[in-house]
Amino acid sequence: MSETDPRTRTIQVDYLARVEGEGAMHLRIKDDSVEAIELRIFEPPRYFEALLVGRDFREAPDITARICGICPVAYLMSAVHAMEAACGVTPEPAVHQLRRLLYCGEWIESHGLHIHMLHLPDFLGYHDAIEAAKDHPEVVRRGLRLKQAGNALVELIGGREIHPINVRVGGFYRAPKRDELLVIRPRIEAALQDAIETADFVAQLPFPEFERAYLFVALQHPDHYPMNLGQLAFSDGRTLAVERFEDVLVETHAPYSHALQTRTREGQAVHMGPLARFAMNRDRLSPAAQAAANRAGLTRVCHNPYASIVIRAIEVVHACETALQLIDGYQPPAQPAIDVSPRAGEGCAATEAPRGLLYHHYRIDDAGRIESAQIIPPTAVNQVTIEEDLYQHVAPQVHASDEELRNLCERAIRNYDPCISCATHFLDLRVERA
Amino acid sequence: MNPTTVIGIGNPYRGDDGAGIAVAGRLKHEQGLRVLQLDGDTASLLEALQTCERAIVIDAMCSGAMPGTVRRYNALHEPLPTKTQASTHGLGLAEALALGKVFNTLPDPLEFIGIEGSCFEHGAGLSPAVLDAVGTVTSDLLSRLLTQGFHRPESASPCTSTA
Repeated sequence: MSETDPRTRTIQVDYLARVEGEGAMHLRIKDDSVEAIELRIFEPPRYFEALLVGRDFREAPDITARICGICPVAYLMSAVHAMEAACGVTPEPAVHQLRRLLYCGEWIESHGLHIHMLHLPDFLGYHDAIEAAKDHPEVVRRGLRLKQAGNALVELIGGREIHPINVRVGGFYRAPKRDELLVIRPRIEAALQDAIETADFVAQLPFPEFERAYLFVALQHPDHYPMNLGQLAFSDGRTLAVERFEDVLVETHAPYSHALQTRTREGQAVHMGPLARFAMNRDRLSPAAQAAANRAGLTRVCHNPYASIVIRAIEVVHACETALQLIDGYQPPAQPAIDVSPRAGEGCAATEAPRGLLYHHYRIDDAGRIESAQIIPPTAVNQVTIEEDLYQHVAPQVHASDEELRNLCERAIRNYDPCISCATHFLDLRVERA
Repeated sequence: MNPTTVIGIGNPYRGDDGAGIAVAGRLKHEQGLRVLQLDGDTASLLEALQTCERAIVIDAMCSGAMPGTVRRYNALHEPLPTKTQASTHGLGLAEALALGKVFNTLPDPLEFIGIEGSCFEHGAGLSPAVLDAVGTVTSDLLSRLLTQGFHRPESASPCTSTA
């Protein structure tokens, strides 16, 4: 059916011009049933992978960190861990702790923004955060404070708040002195209080009744709620070394999307992100985060994607409390970075970006030149799951107006904090009715 | 110190999106002038604006006008074009300023200067029309700020480099 066919209605959504992140959805309805849902996610072009080929292995962290303005730490961390695996080196524990502290900053800023600016208006019944701020100024201000606290932590350790420059393969260019870290402690302490209030606030929101039996995938670590380290854990009970990621999860190219779609080898969609992390690691949350989860009534695996706002808030509590512990126990590493000599080989790593597991895989030659690079971001993996959610939402609502359908779909997509959800109206929805 | 803070917003690694950053880059070494370069993050921008007595914000626009077109707005009293630059996962500049109005934390006066871009692809560098506009806006700001008691030292050469 062409766009000029009178039975096809094409709606152009006046979304904000984004330099990154736009989404489009094609919905085909025939005889009162959904015939097809195709979500197109325009992620940063895959040419980052091509761009890396031939570059020095030490450049991978800074190059890939440019892919995303909100989760550069995730790209930095997955890249350095993968390259260190390829070169067969392991930095000292103090470096790992500093990396976790940096990652805490990213979780606080990214979740703080998504909860308050993007997700909360859906639950409070507002068009956007500006309308919500008129009636709930303190709630939105709290969100901005959390965002700024996270930014400040990333800036302190990463050197800059947006594209940190202090991270390198083997460690950091410069490790902060203990006194420098203590400066930010009061701000993180205040952020912890804000985070606890946020978690209690969002736990009281009205959640649409929607549950699906997802196959969750997240890192799992015996000691920590996972950020940098851990093995791959599936909610069906399987656990695997990260090196086996591509044995189990395979990418296919959907004809309507720039993004590659990932499923299990058996064809099953998987769900990554806060719900998945929580399902597999709840017991390893910090004490204040566990208490917040208890107050929210989240004592078991949560299958409602709308409740992801609560789990994000709990993860902010965890990140703040963990950051305080790391600051208090901080002893600068003996040297900020170990020397890393390249060797021919392969390395892969996965770390937990705020929106889900981010996998990097590199092959380098004996001079350290990158021969191949593969980056699998969580939004690409979650895409199939999002489409399945959308089908369940739309199928009983096929007679709703296009505007109603768009709002329904945008809300359902926003649950995943994908790399397209920035704008109030981010979805270019096309509905074909026949 | 000049009472006006100049804030350039954008991402210099996304082509013309770096227009505002480039203007700020040309002005940042001027003595007596407070110049900030921000990526457009809502929280950082609002925090920065809270510290300003008066401010001029410069950003790239994507409104469909001719590339290099420069538009000025009284940001406190005129609605901004919503299609200004917006960084990943953040709100746009228009939304950030709207939030500032709700919180009553914006400086007065607050001017917005938009520079129409044409290319927002990955990679550094401005397109020729935008580069010209950056020069024009920089010169204009210098002469206007001079009339507000801001004196540029003779030795400074603000228009010879790009950010």
